[in-house]
Amino acid sequence: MARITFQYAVRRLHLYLGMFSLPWVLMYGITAIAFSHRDWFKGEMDPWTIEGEWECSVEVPAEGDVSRSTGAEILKIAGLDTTAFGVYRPNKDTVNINLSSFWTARGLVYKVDEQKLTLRNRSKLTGHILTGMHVRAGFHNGGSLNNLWGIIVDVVCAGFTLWIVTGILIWWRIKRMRSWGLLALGGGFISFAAFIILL
Amino acid sequence: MPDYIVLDFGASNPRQCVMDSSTPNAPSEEHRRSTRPSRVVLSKWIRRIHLFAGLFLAPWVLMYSLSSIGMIHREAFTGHSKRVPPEFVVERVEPYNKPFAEDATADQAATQILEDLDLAGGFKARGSPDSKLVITRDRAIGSHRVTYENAQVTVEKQKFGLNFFLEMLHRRSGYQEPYLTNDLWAIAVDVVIIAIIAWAFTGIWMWWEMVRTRFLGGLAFIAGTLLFILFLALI
Repeated sequence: MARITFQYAVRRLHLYLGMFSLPWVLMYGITAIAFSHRDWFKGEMDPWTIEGEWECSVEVPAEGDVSRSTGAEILKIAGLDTTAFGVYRPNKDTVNINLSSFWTARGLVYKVDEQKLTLRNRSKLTGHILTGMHVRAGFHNGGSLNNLWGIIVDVVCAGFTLWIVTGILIWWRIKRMRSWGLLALGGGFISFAAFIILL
Repeated sequence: MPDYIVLDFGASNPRQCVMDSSTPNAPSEEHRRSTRPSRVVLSKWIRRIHLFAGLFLAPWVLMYSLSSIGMIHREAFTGHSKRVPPEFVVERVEPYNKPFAEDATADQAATQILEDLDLAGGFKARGSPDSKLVITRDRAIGSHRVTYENAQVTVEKQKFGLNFFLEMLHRRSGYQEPYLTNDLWAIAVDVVIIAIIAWAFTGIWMWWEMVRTRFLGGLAFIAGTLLFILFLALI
C-alpha cells in the first residue's frame, strides 16, 4: 500500500475529483459554447401548448417578490404537488412558476389582475437546453434532487479552484518543467491582467 | 505491467518517462505497448497540453470558479438575491461642443464622445445625440456612465464590488463589440472552453496510464456519470 504523503494526497485529490466531476466539467465546457456563440443556436421557438386553465384568486403582495409558500398554493390549484419549482414575478400583474426541466419549458402563469391561471409547456431549442443546463444552480428551485444538484455544482466550482491549486503543487515537483511552467503561468496572469485593464 | 508513469516531461529519452517498480524480466504485452516510442511521445504531449494549458489558463479558471460560487450564493456574499450593481459616483462634468456627423446614430455619437474622453471601448448607448444620450462603458474594474445632454457631458464611475467584478467577467463574451481587445478576450474564452473539454479527455488518458488508480478512478468516473444521467432524467 502506498504511503500517504501530502504529495500523494494532492495527486489523488486532483485525479479522483476530476474523474467524479468529469460529466459536469464536460457539460460546462460544451454548454459555454452556447453563450460564447449565441448566433450558432438561434431558432424559432415552438408555440406554447396549453395544458390547462383555472380561475385563481390567490393573493399576492402588491409588488416585490412572491414567496414560495404562495407559489405552492398556486400549484395546488393546478393540481400539481411538487416542491421543485421557482417563483418569478416579471411584472406586478403576473407571477410565473417554473417547473424546471432540462428538456422542456413548463410552468404556470398567474395573471393576477385577470385571476386566471394557465399551465403551459413547449420544447426548448438546443441553445436553451445548453444555456439552461449551464446556469442551473439548483438551490433556488427547491426539492431534494435540485438541492443535490446544487451541492454537486458547488463541488465542481470548488473543484475547478482545487485543480488549479493542486495542479500547481504537482507541477512544482517536476523540476525540469519549472521554467516553462513559470513562463506559462506568468504569461497567463499577465495577459489576464492586461485584459482587465484594457477591456 | 507499469505501476505509473512519472511526470517527467523533460526526459531526453521519452522511454525514461515510463517507470515500473515491478517490471518482470519478460515485459508483459501491456508494458510493451505502453513503452512503444510513438505512444510514449503521444503520452508526453498529452501531459504537456494538460499541464501548460492549465498553468496558462489558471487565472480564467479561477475567475470562472470563484465567480460561479459568488453567483450561486449571491445572497450570502452581497445580501441580495438579485444582482445589484454598485452605485455610480460623479467624476467630472464638462462642456462638450464637438459636432456629430450629420444623421449620426446613438452608437456613432457615443463612439466619438468616448474617444474624446479617452474612454474608448465596448459600450451600450441609449437615447439620441439630438436630446439626451446615456452611454455605459462596461469595464470589469468599474464601468463608466457618460451622459450627454445640452452640450455637456457628465462622467460617472461605478464603485468597485468584488462579486460584481467577477460576475461581469464571467458573463463577458466579446465578439459582439467592434474592438480588438474584446475579440481577443472572446478568443481567450473560446480557448478556455476548448481547454476544459481537453482537460477532461487528456485527464482520462493520464488516469488510464496509472494502473494503480484504474479501479478507484473508474469507480469515481462511473459514479459521477451515473449520477449525472440520473439528474438529466429526473430534474
